[in-house]
Amino acid sequence: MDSHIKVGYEKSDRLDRARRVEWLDVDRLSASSALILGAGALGNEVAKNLALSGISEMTIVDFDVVERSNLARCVFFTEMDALQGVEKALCLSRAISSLTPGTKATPVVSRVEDLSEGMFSEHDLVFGCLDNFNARVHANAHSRSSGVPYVDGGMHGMVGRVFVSRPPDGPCLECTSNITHSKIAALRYSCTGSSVSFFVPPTPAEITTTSIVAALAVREGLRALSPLAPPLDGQFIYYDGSRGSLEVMEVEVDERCPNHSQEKAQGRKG
Amino acid sequence: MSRFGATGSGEYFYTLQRWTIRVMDTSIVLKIKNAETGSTLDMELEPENTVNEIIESAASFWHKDPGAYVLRRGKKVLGGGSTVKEAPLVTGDVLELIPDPEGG
Repeated sequence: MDSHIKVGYEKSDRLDRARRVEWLDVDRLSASSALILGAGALGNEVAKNLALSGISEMTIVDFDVVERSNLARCVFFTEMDALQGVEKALCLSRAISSLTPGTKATPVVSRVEDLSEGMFSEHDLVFGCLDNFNARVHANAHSRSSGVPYVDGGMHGMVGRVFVSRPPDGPCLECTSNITHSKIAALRYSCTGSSVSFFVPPTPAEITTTSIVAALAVREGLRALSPLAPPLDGQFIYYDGSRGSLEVMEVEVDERCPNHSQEKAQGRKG
Repeated sequence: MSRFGATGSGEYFYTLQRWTIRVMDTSIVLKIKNAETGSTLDMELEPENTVNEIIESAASFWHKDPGAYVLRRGKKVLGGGSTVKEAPLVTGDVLELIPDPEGG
């Protein structure tokens, strides 16, 4: 078959370099959408990496506004955003649309827990860039019930962790949890049931940890959309900057986890 | 005449006249390592103890800040509800308590 090209075509294709990466399915990425939960430090980095990788649509969810203390870790927030108290989701969406004009970025100013079920199923990937366990549990459960891969990132200090769940198989995020997760979840609620925020993780992550965790999360997400390189789903990808180590740890399905026990019960009924 | 003794393989016996009662000691001793400080402790456990209990005891012993932690054995993260018997854990195993970072 004859091919027809224009000289210098490779310089005008924005995604030319990505197309040369064998395992990356750029055409599929260009037709895919991502739901980014949390527009903080991790959300900024994840959105940037996804946009540059060629994801065509993203929805960015966060209920919070930009504060000056965010500026040292969030690449897209400005002094003016902090001064005006602009919503993080709005700021990040604008910045992504400016960075890659072909990307449609939609802001949603909302708590993760208030999103509709349909919001999860409308996307090809869900990224948890959240700062608390309760929101993670919610995102994990709804992604799972919608059949959408969920990539969760967490960090503090020099430590970071990425976990990928690809329903309907394998373990989910709650399979990794234990009594300590339940305790910090309980700490966030007062006796009236209203959300409080007196629990503060001991050491915030600085930008280098954030960059590494975001890069790992996005790479695993891209792999979930690229058949040639399946992701490390169901495994704990653990980065410890104080040791300079990156490890992959196995996680088993916990039949007692709320998601798997419910699926099992539904299977029995079916 | 009665006699009490150990066989040396975790089994104890008590003999009274012609009757012998044998009791198996099923407890194990694990080494728990604190990933953040490098310190270690030996913890004695029964088969029905859970990973949750190990985490709670270790976190309490080291006065850990409130936060999420997981327990790993080598390249495997142990589920909180698993018992020593189910895991299965044996004397001499080294488990490491590592932080499960929550920030974003």
